[in-house]
Amino acid sequence: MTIVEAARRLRGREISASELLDQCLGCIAALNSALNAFITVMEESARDAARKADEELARGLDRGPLHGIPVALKDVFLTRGVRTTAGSKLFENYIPDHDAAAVERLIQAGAVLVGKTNMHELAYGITSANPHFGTVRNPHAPARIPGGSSGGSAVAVASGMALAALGSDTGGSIRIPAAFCGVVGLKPSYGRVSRYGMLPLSFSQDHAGPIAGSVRDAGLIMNAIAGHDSRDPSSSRRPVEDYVPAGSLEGVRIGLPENFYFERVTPAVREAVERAAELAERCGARVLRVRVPDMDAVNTIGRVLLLAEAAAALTPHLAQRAGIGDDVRTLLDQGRLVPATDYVNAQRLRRLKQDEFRLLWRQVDILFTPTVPLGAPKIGETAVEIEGRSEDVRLAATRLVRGMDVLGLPAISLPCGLDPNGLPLGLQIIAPEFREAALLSVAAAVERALGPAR
Amino acid sequence: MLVMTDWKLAAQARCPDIPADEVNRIVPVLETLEAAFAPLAARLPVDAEPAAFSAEPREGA
Repeated sequence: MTIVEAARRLRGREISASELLDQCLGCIAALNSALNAFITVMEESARDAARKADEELARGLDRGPLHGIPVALKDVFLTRGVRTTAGSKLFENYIPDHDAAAVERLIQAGAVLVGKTNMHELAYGITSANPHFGTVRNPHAPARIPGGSSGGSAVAVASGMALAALGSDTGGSIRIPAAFCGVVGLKPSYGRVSRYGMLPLSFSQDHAGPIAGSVRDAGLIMNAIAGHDSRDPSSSRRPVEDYVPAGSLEGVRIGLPENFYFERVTPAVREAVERAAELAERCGARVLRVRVPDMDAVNTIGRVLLLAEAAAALTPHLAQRAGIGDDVRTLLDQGRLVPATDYVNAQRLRRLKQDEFRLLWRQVDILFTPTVPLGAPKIGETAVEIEGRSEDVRLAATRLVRGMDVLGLPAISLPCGLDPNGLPLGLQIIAPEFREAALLSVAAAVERALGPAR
Repeated sequence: MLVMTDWKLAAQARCPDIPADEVNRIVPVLETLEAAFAPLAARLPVDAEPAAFSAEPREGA
């Protein structure tokens, strides 16, 4: 059920917030032991919140479209009085005394917080094979990864454990799991959603955003969480827009990259994204072939930034080496060795690439690319073969998405088809900075054109 | 000509707490990353400024 549908039924008295929550808790009871989507289920407080939502609606107090809607939170968002682990043993007993800004805003909007979702340890990886809280499994194929790091959030939405979820995205961590799990994930512009109270990984690349069952639902969550917050130094003062999409493609200039984005992707991925572009063209858009800046270079810059910033943020915890999973500990050690000059030069190169990318928006309004180059890999696979070439799983999964974290541009992933194994594939749509409303409008129109069998 | 780092020596000197077997694991990745990054950095114009975390003034700043 989408948020839009649930909100309609709530106001029509066809269902109560408590019954809606019961459905989600029922899914969690039935599926969580197999899928490991949640680290903490907030059953008691969620029942209280749902009861309150019902009482408020009964007396005419309507907080808007999220009133009474069950929403899950990646366990990287602080929750007052509720353990926040970041998927790490280092924080297994950490109980914050305040809520993250995005959590505050969801509560104000009347959302019912279902629980804290499992994730790749410290948000530093894409498999969500968590050594401390269990391996998150893909609901479409439980022997495969859901993607990450916001794996539990995507699984929760894909399997009906919540109607939407918050995730964080530093190198694709919202969009990768959204693509692998067949749901919608939006990484907003840098500074659009406050990161206050979100445990950091890479200060200059961390983004918070929604994972939802539809583009419209993602827009509804954005309407609640976007906006300036003086507690986050990177938070933008630009006015927010209405993110509930109109869903139009008329006259939109869609760029389809000639270079980088369609190299080393499976034929199914290429066909699915090109089919989405063709459908968009039939709905009034113009599709133009464009060349994008050197995205391999942008990815390299992003990896240097991430290694250095994550090490800066998390090295104090390396005193407890044995408490950190092998893959994350290795990345933190690598980061400790990145020279300061490389970090500064990465930030200098980043600005040049941001300037280069801005020129692209003179030619097109929006870009269509694949989100991931293949369907979800199997759990435990460390390398995948694409077009006859072996590639590290993490580098393959992040290759097409990391760039937008470096550049700070908004990007959404929506389901656009299945591969021959029946695994979901993602279409990534990228827009100029702070053009989330336009991005969501195009995405909603494409979602509609692709239809329910997408 | 770019001079490449001896990451094993760097690790031993700067992070002696990293066990030897783990040093062997991290070195190849750093070598590959440096091979990709060093040519980019070498071509930076001298007046290239770093990206700002936010272009907007902070409250009270």
